Amino acid sequence: MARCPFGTQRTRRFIPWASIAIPGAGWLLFGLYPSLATIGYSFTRYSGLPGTPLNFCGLCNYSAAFTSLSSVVGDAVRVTLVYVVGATVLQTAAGLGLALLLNRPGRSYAVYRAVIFMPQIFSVAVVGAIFALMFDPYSGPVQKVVNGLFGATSAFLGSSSLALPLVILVNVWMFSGYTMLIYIAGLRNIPPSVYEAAAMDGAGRLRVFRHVTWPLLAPATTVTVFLTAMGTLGEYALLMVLTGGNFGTKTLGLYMYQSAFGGDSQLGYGSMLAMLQFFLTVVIGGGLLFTLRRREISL
Amino acid sequence: MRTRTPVAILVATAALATVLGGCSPSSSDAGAGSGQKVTLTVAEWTNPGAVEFTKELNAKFEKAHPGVTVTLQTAPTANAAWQQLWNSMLQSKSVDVLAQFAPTQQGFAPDYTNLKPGGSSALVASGQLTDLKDQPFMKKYDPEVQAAAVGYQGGVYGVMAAQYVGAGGLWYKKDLLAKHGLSVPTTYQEFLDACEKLKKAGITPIFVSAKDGMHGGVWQGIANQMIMKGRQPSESVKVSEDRATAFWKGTQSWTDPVYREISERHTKIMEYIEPNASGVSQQTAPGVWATQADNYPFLLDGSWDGLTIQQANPKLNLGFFTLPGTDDPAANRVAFKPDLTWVVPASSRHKDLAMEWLAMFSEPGNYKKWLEKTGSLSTQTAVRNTELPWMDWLNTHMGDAFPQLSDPWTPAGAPIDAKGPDLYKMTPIGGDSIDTILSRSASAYRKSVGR
Repeated sequence: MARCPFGTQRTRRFIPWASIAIPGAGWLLFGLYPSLATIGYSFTRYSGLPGTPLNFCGLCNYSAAFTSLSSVVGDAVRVTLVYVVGATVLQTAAGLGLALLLNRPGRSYAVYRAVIFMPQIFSVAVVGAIFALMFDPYSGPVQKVVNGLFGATSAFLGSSSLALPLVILVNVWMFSGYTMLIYIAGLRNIPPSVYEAAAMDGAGRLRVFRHVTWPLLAPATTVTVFLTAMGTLGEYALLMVLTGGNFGTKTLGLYMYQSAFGGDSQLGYGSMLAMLQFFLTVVIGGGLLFTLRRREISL
Repeated sequence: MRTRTPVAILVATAALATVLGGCSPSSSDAGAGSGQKVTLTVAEWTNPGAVEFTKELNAKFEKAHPGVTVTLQTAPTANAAWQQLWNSMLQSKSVDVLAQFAPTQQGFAPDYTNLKPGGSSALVASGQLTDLKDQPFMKKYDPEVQAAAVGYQGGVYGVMAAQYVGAGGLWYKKDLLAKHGLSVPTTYQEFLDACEKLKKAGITPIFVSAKDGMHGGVWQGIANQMIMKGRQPSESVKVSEDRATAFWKGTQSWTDPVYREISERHTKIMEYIEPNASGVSQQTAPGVWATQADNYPFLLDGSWDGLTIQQANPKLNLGFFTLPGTDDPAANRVAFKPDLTWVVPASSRHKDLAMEWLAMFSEPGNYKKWLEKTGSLSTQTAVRNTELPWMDWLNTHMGDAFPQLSDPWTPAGAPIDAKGPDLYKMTPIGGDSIDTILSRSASAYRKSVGR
């Protein structure tokens, strides 16, 4: 009988428990505790600064959000929904397009894929700062290009009509490489025999995509749409660096961050906004999963 | 086995307690003067001049205190990085002297409002900062100004070491104005006339970063001068408080005629700013402005950016004045904004050393250097403002200057409109008219305070 690499019988009995206990303790400390604390703080007027009192106030923050401050919360929810829908649709489309274009053998394609994925590894703050400089109307290069091509100028990130679309585009630029990888994995899971059968039936490229590739990419679409929507729902850093939440770009996440950690930090109010965001995430995430899974089954 | 377990736990606990006890300092300045190494930690936000000065002072302090090392922690104010740094340093009780923005009396709304202090006001109100009122070095500072900036219930919880002109602050290019036969305007109408003359000469009069809200300085500047007209500088705290009370009780509103007049004047001046100003960030504005010597005679910006402008163009013949917001030259006074305030957290492990550091900082020779590096206005009674060339106008107009008025009290999460007109949405930056903006502000304020 071969010697067991995991020690004695007694030690072996201990390993599964330890495997659960260590990550479990981590989850309790860094997952459950902050979540419960956020729920608790949402019923207070706590500043979040060390040594300051909790100031329990019951439902005061929730009441304010649905009465006196309903317009500002409502605006933040509306901007969040536009941001989530815009970023999810564009990022999914861009990721799919890139995957179809670059899912080919060869070193050069591997380099292209790496280049397109690269923005994902940069810090959001760095990407935001670079784009903010690029879009500066007086010192940035984008104005010169736009002026040269169209003879027009713009305030870009300082324009109420352009700011949100531009932030969405920066988000898409940054994360579409990730979506591309998910779709490439999906494309490689489609058996070649299906394409051969379609070719024998005389299907053209467009028809093959419509009736073979797109339906069989349904699981990949579920993953990418769900992850993108959830990621953008909680997004605040990119918006903060690019626009500071001005010009119609204050999402619920940014409003929460600024309330909880801004100059007059009020963690209690920010925690209530985090709870609203959690509720929104559950509703949107649950709705998306339900719809996309049903689509997968029907296909 | 079972009977031995509690004993083992007791022994382990005692051993741990001994070890931990040995780790913690037995006095507030353990090690200082006893040959042991002590580290004093100072933290401030990234302001090039302030950081340069603090490093020099730290070296001087280390020389005068053998065995003491002073470390400096910094972070930029942009994107809440500084907020994160000081919050985490306070949480870990690892800072001895900390820079804060002066909370001013706006941070302490009366009990009947049921508003709880946030930010540094919350630290003061909950006893997390040390009262410095009786420290000998505090005698060097103007007690009234310090109390207005960081006073609370008779105590003074910091040293407000820097104050700047923010409301209505205007940098100007002396040579460019002279080239067009213009001098520093003293009334609102003179300023408009100067702008019109420059515009006719093909020059865009004003450069501003409206992306980061610097155009708010125009509105604030006019408001401060109009509301404080005929009042003594020492009355500004009371004027702020009375105004906040009137707003809270509903006897004053953003739709009142005075705010309409301020908004009209603001909008008129905004006709002379550069195109696409709402896309220009404050990070680039001083540099872009400084390097274009033949355009944009005025830059709307606070007096804190002197060093940045001079570094961008050392040859620029630079001046600074406050926008005249009324047609009465006597009313067009300087409103200064309390800014960097040194505080000593109650959790500081080296309080005595922190006080010695502040005492050294406050020595006239050192404080004078601080003023030179930061371009700050002096908060010490015996130290005059520096003789930096751009400070000539300020030095002759500081006699009747007053602390900038603060906004009415608003609860956490209140929309930007509640604290004043949303100048991002007001014409010409936004598309909304003055009436729409003021009505929206009045409504936002009423709603946010639950009326």
